Parts: sequence; C-alpha cells; structure tokens
Amino acid sequence: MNAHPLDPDPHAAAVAGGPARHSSSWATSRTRTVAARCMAAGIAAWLITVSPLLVGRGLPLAGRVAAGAALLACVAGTQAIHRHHRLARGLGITAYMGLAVAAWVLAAGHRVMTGFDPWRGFCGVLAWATYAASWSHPWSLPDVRLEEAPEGASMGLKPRRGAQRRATLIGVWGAGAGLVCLALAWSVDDASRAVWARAVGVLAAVALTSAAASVAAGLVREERVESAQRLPVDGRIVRAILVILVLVAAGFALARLR
Amino acid sequence: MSARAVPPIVLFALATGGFVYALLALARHEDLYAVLALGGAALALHALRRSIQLLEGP
Repeated sequence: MNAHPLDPDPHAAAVAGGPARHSSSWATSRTRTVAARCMAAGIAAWLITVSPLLVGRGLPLAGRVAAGAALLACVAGTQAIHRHHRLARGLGITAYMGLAVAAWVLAAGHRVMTGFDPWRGFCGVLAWATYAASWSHPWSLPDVRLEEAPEGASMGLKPRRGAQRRATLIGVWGAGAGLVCLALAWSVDDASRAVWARAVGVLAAVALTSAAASVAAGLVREERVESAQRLPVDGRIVRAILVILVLVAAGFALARLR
Repeated sequence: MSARAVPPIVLFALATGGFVYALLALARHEDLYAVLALGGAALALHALRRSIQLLEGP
C-alpha cells in the first residue's frame, strides 16, 4: 500500500541522501521547535486556568484526576507531534481540551472557581488563544513532506508576495487596540453601565480590527498605484476631520467649564 | 484640491484614540465625553473607509 503524501513520516530524520538528509534534519528540528511551542502554550493555559482546580480545596477526586490528566495529555500530545500526527492531535487537542472542560464542569458546583479574578481570566483567555494559534499550522509534517504533497492538499494557495512589514505592524496595532478596548470594557464594575461598556468595547474591538485589516490591505495596494497623487483629498474626509476637531474642542471646552 | 490627503494611518490612530478615550470616560462616569469620543471615532472610521475607497480607485 502506498503511503499518502500527507501521512507523517516516522523516520523523517533518517531519510537517505545528502541534501535530502540535510533538509529532513532541518525539518525535523523545526518540527521539534513547533512541538516545544505547542507544549509551552498548553502548559501556560493549564497553569493559569486548570491548575487552581488541582490544588484548590473542595474539588472531588474525579475533578483532580481530570485536571492532572489534562496536563499529561498536553505534554504527551506535543511529544508525539514529530512521530504520529493523529495521536498528537488526539492527545494534544481533543483529550487535553476534553479533560480541561471536564475538570471545570466538575469544579463548577464546588465554588473552586470563585477565586478567579478578572485579571487571571484575561490572562487565561490570552493563554488559550496562544494555545489555539500554536496548533493551527500543519505542524505535524516536516516541510519536505509538505513539498511532496499535491497542490492544494496541505494548505491553500500560497500568496504571490509576502506581507509588508508596515502592514503586519498595523495588524498587530489593530489587534492590540482591540484587546485594550476589551480589557477597559471589562474593567467597568458599576452594574448600571457595565453592559453598555462591554457592548461598546466589543463594538470598538471589531471595528478597530477590521479597520486595521483594511489599512494593511490598502498599503499593499498602494504600492501598485503608479500615480503620484495616490490619495486625492475628498470633501467628505475633510468634513469628517473638521467635525472630529469640533468634537475635541467641545470636549475641552466642557472640561474647562466644569 | 490637488494636495495630498491625510494618510489612512492617521485616521486609524484617531479612531483608536477615540474608542479608548470613550471607554475610559465610561469607566469614570463621564457619559457626555464618552458619547463625544464615540462620535469622533465613528467619524474617523467613516473617513478612513472613504480614503481607502479613493485609494482603490474606480
């Protein structure tokens, strides 16, 4: 039976031949790096959001076992990345997430999680997002195997050009600004305006993220525009800026009056 | 007018500042400033979209 091009190669490091061996060892080294990254992200998420269940008082034995087994599944799954693709995915994603959720469910009725403060929750969200991103790449295959795969089988079409550095920075800026808005919104404790603040925060985060994507894409297109006058002044833009300035001036005036 | 327009990055910075200030004002119970800042941020986003439309051309 012929091996599928996308099947993991259990002997990737032992491929014969000079250049092939060199590239295979490089790919294996890279895969190990990815495995270490996945493990670090998984352990961070576990330490922040699951470990309190293991050490806290009042949780039944089943919950403690689930919390501990989640960590073992995470570590074992990442160690299997360069050997067995499906086993790694089953342990590192399915078993790890399932056991963590089981521990949370078992802890829900025992008031173990009431000690979680908003800051820990925010860090936990970030940690789980990092964990998800670290496992999102076709991580289990060395690059030599990906090159052998039929076109379109391993990933989408490759971009014709890489992203500009400025575009990447703007994307990071948009994501960071969105996170700041969410953090500010969730820091409002007053019950009378908390819902309003959260709604504004989510709206602002979505708007800033999509606007950052538009600006970044516009930078790429901007290079293709041959005309020297790339951004002609538009009356509506000027009017909008004027209105913004009027609003700022009104705000300062009101602040002085108070 | 033949002068060059405000770059989109400036409008994006205005929108970012507007939203952040609006949320800070909400947390400090300054609702009027929050509404003003939200309006400014919304206008900045509107101008940003218009700028990008112009950049793309017809």
